[in-house]
Amino acid sequence: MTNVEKKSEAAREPSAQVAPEAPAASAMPAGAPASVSAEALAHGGGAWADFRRRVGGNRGAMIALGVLSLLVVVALIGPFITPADPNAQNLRAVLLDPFSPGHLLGTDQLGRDILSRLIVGTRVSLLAIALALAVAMAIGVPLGFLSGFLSGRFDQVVMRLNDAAMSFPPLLLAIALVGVLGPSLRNAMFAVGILMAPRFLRLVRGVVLGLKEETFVEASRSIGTPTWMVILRHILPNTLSPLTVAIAVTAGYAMLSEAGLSFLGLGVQPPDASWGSMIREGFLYFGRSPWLGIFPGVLIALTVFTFVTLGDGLRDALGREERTES
Amino acid sequence: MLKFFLTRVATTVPVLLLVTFVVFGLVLLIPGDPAVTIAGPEATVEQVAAVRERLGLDRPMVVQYWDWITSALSGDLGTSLFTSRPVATSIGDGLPVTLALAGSALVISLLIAVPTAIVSALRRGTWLDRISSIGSSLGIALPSFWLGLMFVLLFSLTLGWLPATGYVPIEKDPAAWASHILLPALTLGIAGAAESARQLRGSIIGVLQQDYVRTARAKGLRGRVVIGKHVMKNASVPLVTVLGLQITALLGGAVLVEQIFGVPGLGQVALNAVTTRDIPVIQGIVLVAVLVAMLSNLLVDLTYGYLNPKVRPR
Amino acid sequence: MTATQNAATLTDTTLEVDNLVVDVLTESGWATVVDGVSFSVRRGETLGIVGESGSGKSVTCLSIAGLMPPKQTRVRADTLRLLDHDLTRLSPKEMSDVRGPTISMIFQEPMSSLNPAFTVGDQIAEVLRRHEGASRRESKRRAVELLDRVGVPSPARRATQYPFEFSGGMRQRVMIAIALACNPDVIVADEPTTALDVTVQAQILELLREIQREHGMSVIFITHDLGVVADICDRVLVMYAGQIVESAGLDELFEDPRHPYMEGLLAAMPRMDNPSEALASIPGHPPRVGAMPEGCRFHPRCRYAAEACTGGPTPPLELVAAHHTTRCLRHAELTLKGNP
Repeated sequence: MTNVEKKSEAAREPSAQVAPEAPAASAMPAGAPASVSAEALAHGGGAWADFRRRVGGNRGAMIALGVLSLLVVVALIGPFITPADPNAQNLRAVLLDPFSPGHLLGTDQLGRDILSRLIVGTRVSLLAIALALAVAMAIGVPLGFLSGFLSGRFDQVVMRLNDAAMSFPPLLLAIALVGVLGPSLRNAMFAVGILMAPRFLRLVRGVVLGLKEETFVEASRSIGTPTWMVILRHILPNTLSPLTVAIAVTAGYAMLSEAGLSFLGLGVQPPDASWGSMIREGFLYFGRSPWLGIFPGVLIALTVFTFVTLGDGLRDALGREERTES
Repeated sequence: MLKFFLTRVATTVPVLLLVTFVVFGLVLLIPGDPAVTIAGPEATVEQVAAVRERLGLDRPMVVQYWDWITSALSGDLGTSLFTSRPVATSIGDGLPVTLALAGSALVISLLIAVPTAIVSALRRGTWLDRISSIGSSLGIALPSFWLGLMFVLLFSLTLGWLPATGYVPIEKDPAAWASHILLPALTLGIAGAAESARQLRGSIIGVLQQDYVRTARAKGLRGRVVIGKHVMKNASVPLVTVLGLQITALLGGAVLVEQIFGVPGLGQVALNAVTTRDIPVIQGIVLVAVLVAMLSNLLVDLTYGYLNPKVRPR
Repeated sequence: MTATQNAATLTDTTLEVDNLVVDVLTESGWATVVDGVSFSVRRGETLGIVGESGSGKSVTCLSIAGLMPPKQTRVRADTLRLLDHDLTRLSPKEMSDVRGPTISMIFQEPMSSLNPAFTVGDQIAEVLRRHEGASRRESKRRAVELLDRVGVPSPARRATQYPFEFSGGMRQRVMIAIALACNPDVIVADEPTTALDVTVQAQILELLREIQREHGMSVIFITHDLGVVADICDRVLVMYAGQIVESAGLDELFEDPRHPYMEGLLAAMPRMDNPSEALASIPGHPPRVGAMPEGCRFHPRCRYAAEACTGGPTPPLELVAAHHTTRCLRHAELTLKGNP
């Protein structure tokens, strides 16, 4: 392991709020606040209840969860609640201002109802995020587990692959992959997912490596339980917290990537709408009708902001994103 | 220091090898017969054969890779399938522009991040801190291309302060270069600025609680020396590790920003190549971008060696 | 009092503290952690401040030196005089002029008290540059001299090394060199030997003694280890729950303690080879800040506690002999066992 890898593991933000110091004793400058996750790492039992209790107490995380649930509901029932057909053109009513009769948020350059397109775009955008996350986790989680569990040569190879994946400028590789595979939202998000796999790989690998050192693993092994079984039994509760944080943060990046690729025309293809592609299509008319870009842009920013806030809130509530690496 | 440098370079070599596999392997991902796909739906059998011949697709994979990598090492990245220009020439035109853009973005992002982080770490919990923390969350959440469009709308179209699009090489007219690069670089740098500010704020707060900061105060050092010297040198260590990743991200983000501001950089070339499935150009650009990213990460790591004396063996 | 009236005492007393009160901000609001501490230190004297962790001994000294975090601390005092500086009136900037040349500190953790990112020589030299306007070269030369003075072997080479290349004892010598750099009038040593093993501890104590003999400065020595106190101090303040509970000359305090807490500490002394258990013979724990007992703050743990001790205001600090005070209501009736 090189120094360079090690330090990137160490590059975690110390928890934003430093716990108010206990009185007299710690009125003398205290050391770094104890990491909560160490506690979470120690025992698997009751992890889920613990998780709910901690997250429930975090206002930022709860608000973010609320906004996110709203977005999910819109994505699910979107097609049934659109005020108009999102793809119906009306060349006699193009670029209408917001609050026009029948078009609450106005129309675009082809006379399509912006509100309806935003609503159906929600589903497209969230599905895209889900796809990228699924791909990233499908690659990262098992590889990370094996890498941490097997160590040795396998781990060496996987870590070099990980380094290689991380040395590609993410957006550029996604563009190249889409260029080769052909432009479609599925291909785009597949590429994004591959690029995000290292986040999960390193995380799970770190947790497994940490678990291997734990005494209860030693203890179970001494009574004859195979190590992999012990680890497997503890891996879920122990990765729950850091994985949730990582998912929230990664989802934000996936959203931005989807928007960027769709803006470049490499993601969702017309006539389908995603928020990113709506900005692309409205691009030329911004000078006259800025809301064409403002509405979808605000929605993208709101979604990413929600994910970032959720990630921050979860990290505060659950302890830091686990990045232990021996 | 030399040893640190050499081990660092040595670990890069296998990674670089893997990267070339991936870049070369892009061809294999083309669905169906690559030659047919590349030549396009209207191509005649002869044209398809010509494409196959030119890309050497009829030869064994290993041979193809060997040819590709050896000519790449000698600076020959092949020729574009559409313009017949050497790929290296197109990259040579675009790369300096992209580097100027990414470099300026990095400088701007640090110019924003460092003072913001210091102020909010020292005024932790105040409204100033809260505003800058909301600001940095927004900076991360706002899509850069959208921000760029808004900048154009505001600064160019509405206020008319800066040109909306285009690029002037710095050697031709530094002032015009600056006015053309400012908005794109700001657009590209904001996300990084937000991320760095968050990171740095956190590490400054951590360092402020260290005993050696108290020692520095106990020595009677001025506040700005305590912060500027004792705190910042230690707090920069985690920032530097983030910067490596950020430089890599900047090179990717440049594609979007170049598109919006009409900056003729590598991203433009890449985007044109992608729309025409100009495989040699795509491969060449990705390879060069990775090389640039790796090289800048190497430089960043050397800074790390300076900041953290423990990693440089004496 | 005017400055001229003070002139006589100025030559003798380096630091005078009267009724120091320190509040810190806790989760449940402001809490008093140092409550009415008064003492003075003479030139050439070593004053020990003894107490368990949380007794307020470190906070007392950090507050005097202006090193408590300003937003979370309120410091008040009737008098805080360091030579001719009225510390209560100094701005933070003026205070930083005083730290180094007039008062300097040695901290407990030699591991973390030195900045890992700078060479040891630079960390000494910067004090000289800051306070004496020494040039880069001059300050470097004197840093090497100081390292030599505190017994760091091959100082010229060691000056270019980083703290992680030093052992704990050597780092503490570096800390002493930093504290010594500008020839201060008062050195505060906050548990300087606690983190070191016993032989190194003895060497560091010897070094401090030597330096004091040479320069004649006042030393305030904070510790919870009575063995160390016996080794180095001339006079001792015993602190409990933010207050001084007893103060006397070293011999008198050890032979004739007048506060049950001090008796308990002395009874625990033979076990000082195991510092974590040193106080085991006093049952219970010190009170938490913000939850101070009525009456004598020590009464819940005191084997002599009587009805009168458990209520009303905290007993006053009474003079029981020349230069010997105690904060015990029953000091006249009790015969406490010393450790001569």
